[in-house]
Amino acid sequence: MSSDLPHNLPIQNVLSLLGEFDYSEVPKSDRYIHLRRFDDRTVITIPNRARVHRAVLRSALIQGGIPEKDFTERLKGAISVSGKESILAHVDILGFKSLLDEAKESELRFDELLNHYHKALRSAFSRIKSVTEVRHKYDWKRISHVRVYTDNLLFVSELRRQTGGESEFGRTIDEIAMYQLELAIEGFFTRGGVVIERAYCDEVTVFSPALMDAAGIEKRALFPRIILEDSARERLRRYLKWYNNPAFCHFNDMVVIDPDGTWFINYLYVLRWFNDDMMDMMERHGEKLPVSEGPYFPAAISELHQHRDHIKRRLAEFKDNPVVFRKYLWLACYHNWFCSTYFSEDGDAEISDVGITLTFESCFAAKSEVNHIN
Amino acid sequence: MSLNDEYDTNPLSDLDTVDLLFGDLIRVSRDGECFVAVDHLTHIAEVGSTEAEAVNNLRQAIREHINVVKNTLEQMRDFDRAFREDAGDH
Repeated sequence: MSSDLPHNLPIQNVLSLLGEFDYSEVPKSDRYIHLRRFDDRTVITIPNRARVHRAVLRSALIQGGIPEKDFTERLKGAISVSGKESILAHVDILGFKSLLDEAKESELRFDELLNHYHKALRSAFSRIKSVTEVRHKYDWKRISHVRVYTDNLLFVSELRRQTGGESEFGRTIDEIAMYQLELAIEGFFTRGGVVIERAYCDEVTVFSPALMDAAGIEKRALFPRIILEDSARERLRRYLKWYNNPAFCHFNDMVVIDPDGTWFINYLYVLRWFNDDMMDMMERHGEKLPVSEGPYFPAAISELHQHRDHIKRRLAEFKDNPVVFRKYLWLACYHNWFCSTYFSEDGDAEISDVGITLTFESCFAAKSEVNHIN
Repeated sequence: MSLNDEYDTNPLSDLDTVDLLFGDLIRVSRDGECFVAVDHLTHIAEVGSTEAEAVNNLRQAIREHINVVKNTLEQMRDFDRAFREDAGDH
């Protein structure tokens, strides 16, 4: 059985860490150390040697019913840690301050807004957290953490050197997109940025120079979108070089380029992805869609329509506030471009009377630029 | 002698008993320079420079472990008995 426990550890470290799980030594012999909890009959037996082999350590954890994940988290406090090249995403919610201002109006309004926000954030966060936890559980040495503070989400995932970090990069982009979509269909639009930077993160510490510029990243995003900062964009360009055909490149649809040259996460693409998965599955099982719903999976269309309605409401709400209105106008353009590109047969999805059309292109289009540069 | 019999307080006399009970449950694998023997009943593991040494070390560890478990159970029973007697006195 493979394990990510260290190959061996000094016995004193092991005893001290087991002590944190309430196991203390039972005096018995020189050759073996036995540990037990005060009110428990469970006994852990390990050989009394200067260093504890990984297999022996794992056996001690099983004997004591200690989850490996919990032990390894404590272990980080006992052994030296180091920063690793990671992908970091910093995301915040657009208009959160005005939401808090509104919450001050009355107790009733406070609770109403709190519940709406809480429901949306909890659902989006628990999804991204469970993915991160699973990843962390099977490879504890790799940094993979997610944090939420007020409306800020910080996501850190270490890039593997052997593979150039492509799979971690891709997964992070997907997870951020899912988080963004889940909040958007509840009416909370996000903005932020993705960077590649040296970082360290565990249950208690977040350490990276990228954090110093978190506010700058949000400002540069300008609109409700999660942009790829220079470091992330250059890394993605490197990955794009590996592909000849966009059909085989996952990033082709997940990252698009704004006419202003900004690369950002095409979070609505998660809906198309979901739609295709469900339609394929129904086809495999010979199921037919209700005729009235058209050629798309009803839940995907319904969420796309919810997205549309939230934007329409915001456009109406901020029609007299040009600074904020401009942000939602951009969002309406993005929504319309997405609908015409990925759900072109649904006549209702687009927002009418936007007055502007923006055309975004796939990041794969920038591949020629890469070749030119190189 | 039965492992399930908590009232049998006789310590295991020799390693043959361990072999008898655990022989089929021990798995040995190689990990780099050493051999690792694991007992899949108690989950105890031991290492050795040879396969035989790892298994032998594991047999010793299991024997010690069972003795400590038995002593622990005995202590808990004594404590429980003393507690009940004390409570009865009052």
